[in-house]
Amino acid sequence: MLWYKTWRESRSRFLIGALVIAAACLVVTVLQSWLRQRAAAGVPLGTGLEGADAYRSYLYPRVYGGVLRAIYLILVALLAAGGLQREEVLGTLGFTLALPVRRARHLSTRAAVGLVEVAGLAALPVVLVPVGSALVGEAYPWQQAAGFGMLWCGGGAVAFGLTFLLSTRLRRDLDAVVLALVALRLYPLVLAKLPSGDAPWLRLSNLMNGAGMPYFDSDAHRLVGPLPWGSLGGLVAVALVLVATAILWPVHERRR
Amino acid sequence: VAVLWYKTWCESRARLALTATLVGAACVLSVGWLGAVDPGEVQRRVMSAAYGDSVKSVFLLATITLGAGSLLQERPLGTLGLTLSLPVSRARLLFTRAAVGMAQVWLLVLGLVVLVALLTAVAGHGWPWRSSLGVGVLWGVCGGVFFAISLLAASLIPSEHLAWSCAFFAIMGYELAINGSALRARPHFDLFRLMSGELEGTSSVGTLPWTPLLVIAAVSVAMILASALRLGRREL
Repeated sequence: MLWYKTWRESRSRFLIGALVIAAACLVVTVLQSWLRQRAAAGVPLGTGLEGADAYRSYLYPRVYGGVLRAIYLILVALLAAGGLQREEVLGTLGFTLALPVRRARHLSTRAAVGLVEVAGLAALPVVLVPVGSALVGEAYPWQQAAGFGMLWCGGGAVAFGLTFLLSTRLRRDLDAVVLALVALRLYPLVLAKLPSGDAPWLRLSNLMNGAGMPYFDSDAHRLVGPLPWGSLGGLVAVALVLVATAILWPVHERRR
Repeated sequence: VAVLWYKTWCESRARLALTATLVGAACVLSVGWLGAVDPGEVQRRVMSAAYGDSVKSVFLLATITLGAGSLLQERPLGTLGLTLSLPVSRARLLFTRAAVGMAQVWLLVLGLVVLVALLTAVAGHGWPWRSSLGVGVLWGVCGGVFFAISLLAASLIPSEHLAWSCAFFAIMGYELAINGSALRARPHFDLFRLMSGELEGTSSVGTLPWTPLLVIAAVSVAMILASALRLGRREL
């Protein structure tokens, strides 16, 4: 019942997010011919490349390298918003706390449902990019899409964990979303001030889009070799630490 | 009347403090460690650091967060009854909210300009105040339209999250549409490029592009009027 309640509370955000990502994937793939003509007029994407290489060079900055990845992270942060603090503001806290369940259980259920939704959003391009490409006579290997999907899943989990932690501390959950997004934006600037801060494996964006990583060929814009399980494991570990901190740090147990 | 302004200020000051802290942090991280800069390069380096993509994106998030929230979002908070019982029209409530919000956007910009000037002065780069104020005007006007879009979304959509997201994606969609269409050849339509001060006749030491700025300001006012019109007719 608790799982169903949590799903009902977050499904509209998840479905809207899924619609946004699906629409963006389909626009980028189905309208690729028109968009590539536009890009060729000003931005020299895929210059000197032909066929599948040129298509990957067109697709990468639009889906995996920049815009859609940023949209995905924002949607993930919005999914993580909510919780008991918000319920206090909305006046539904009494009902939720009257349920015979510990507060930590509420939080862990919300985290679990949220992480599944994060994975669901990351899975959409895995399906839609190859399918959309096939519809217009182009080919995008599903293995590539699945690889990026896994990386998105890991990066999305970190963004979710951070927003989730902040949303259990701040009364207004929109503030938690904004704070998390700004933290993710400023994190590379902080890293740049550190002695070893230019290491790409420390940067969430590089881990997600592969730029500068050994598992990514930046000339051909494709993942190479086996999946980067080490990077994925690191991302999942950071996400779990953030979520566990939110659940185990007993702010809610102490608060009236 | 003073009470209404004070009420609006009290409701939004925590958000202003949060967003000012975030914009300030972005500015310090961008400008604080510029290091040794060739005197001839100061203008370009400071422009790209202080008013570059990082600070710009944080400023965008800050302004649409300041614009989030209107009468529609007061219902779940349980304060709608009190607000509507005040002896003022809904339009008056919204105009006060818009005026306070716009003032906060300009306060953010002023804080940013002062911070950039201080940081560059401390570093011995000597960033000229006049140039900084010119960029501040560009950011203030563009920040005003971001705020107005967010306020309009908050007046149309009851859910705070959804309204905020719609405002953000509307701005992003506009930028993508501009850059993916024939309007790319007319850079004055691109708000982010306008804020960068990269356009012809928009040099940070030269004159400001007053025509596009006035058009943007007029669009902001139109959006605030549309918000007031919408809230005035809506069943609450």
